[in-house]
Amino acid sequence: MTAVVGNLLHAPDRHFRLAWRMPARTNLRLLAGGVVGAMAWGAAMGSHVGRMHLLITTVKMPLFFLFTLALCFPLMHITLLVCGVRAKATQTLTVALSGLSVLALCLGACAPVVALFCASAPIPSMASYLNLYVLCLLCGVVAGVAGLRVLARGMRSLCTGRVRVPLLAWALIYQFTGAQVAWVLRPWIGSSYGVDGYSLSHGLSGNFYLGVGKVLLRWLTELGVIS
Amino acid sequence: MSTQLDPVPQPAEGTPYGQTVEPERWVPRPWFKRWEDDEFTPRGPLNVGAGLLRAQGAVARDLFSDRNLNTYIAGCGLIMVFASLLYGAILGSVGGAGQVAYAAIKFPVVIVGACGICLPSFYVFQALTGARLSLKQAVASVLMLGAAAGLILLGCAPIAWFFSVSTTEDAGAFLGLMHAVIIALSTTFGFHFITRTHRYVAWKHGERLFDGRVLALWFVLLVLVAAQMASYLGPLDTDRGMLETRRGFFLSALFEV
Repeated sequence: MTAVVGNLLHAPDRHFRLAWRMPARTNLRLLAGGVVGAMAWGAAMGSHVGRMHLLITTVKMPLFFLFTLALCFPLMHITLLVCGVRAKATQTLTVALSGLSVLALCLGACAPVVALFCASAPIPSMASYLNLYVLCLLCGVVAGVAGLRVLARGMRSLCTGRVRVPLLAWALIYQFTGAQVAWVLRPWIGSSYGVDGYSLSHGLSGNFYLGVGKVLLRWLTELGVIS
Repeated sequence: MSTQLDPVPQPAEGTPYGQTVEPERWVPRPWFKRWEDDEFTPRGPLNVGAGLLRAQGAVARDLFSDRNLNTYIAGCGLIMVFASLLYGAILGSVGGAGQVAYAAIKFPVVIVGACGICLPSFYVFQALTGARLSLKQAVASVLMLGAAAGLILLGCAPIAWFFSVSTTEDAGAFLGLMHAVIIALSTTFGFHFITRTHRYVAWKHGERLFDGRVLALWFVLLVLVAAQMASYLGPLDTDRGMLETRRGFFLSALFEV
């Protein structure tokens, strides 16, 4: 696993050249690396509330990445084919897992820092919750950019043309679905006012995009922009 | 009288098989090269989907030269029915188990019915405007459009299903919008495939398999017919029974929503 992860981080082109020779084994190792990174990130987020919430978030984070990939994979593969990248399903999976593994490893690398801030932030405090939220968001953006770069390298290793369209389409599809999966698996950092485990009925209530809409509407109403 | 012959015009560079084409109108595009390299032989109806996604150039050449069309017709028909059945079930999953069955039956009827209703007009008007298209090629073209759209629907099906089961509160408008976007995207892809086939054949053979303007107008007609059938049969209307239909223009139903 360390060899695959090392190649992936140091020399993505070499990683993909090797991956096309033995895709199944590479996929398994990428999966293992990604799960470790995601679990570390989940544990860091859960350390704000601690105890049971830490364990639940540690399990939920890899599930979040993998479930989102499972939902998006058919459309991602079709998008790649339609955009002229003649990839096999295993190759698409390798590219997707490589991008996700880098994303998860970057998040895992940030996990100790986030864990420190999460564990030492006062609780309950809405201000500290929002600060942690922004910190996690920044880490997510940095890791996301790193993951996208590897995705682009992977796509380029499969074709000679430009890969901007399939790359953007992949990011859009994964983000659109991932937001709802994250909504269903919430809470992540954990409410400052106490979290008691995870409830599926709570997760299945509402919708991410409607939730964002409601918050925006409330802000606009409070600001007096709309009545 | 001069005995010297006029110089023979040379075919444009890169033209396949030295055939004469209109170089100004059909400038080779990057994807033409990709389509030229595509190779595909349908082993059976279940294999046709792979060709539509991986080797569109080969499918376009088969369509033009009337090769393996029976297999393509069977395969595309199967994909279209299966994809619309599955997506119909997802559309109906918001309204409970009964609605899943109703929508799973009604949605394929809407899709296949709209294609069937529009097929004669497609063939007749294409023939009238000088396109060299047999009836079998017309059937295959319409089914390929439906199958290409169906493949995108199949790709979106897991995402649509997840949003349907994980959204509960006052989300009818959101889900409706999401399904509308997915159906519009898939239909656009189907039309895009047929349009590219038309351009590729015109570039490669210097002949028109379709007439472009008739194709665009026919596509508008197909969308209108599908919308009217959807309004009449109501695969999304949870209040309606299996055989219950509703008269009225689809736009007025849309404004009611």
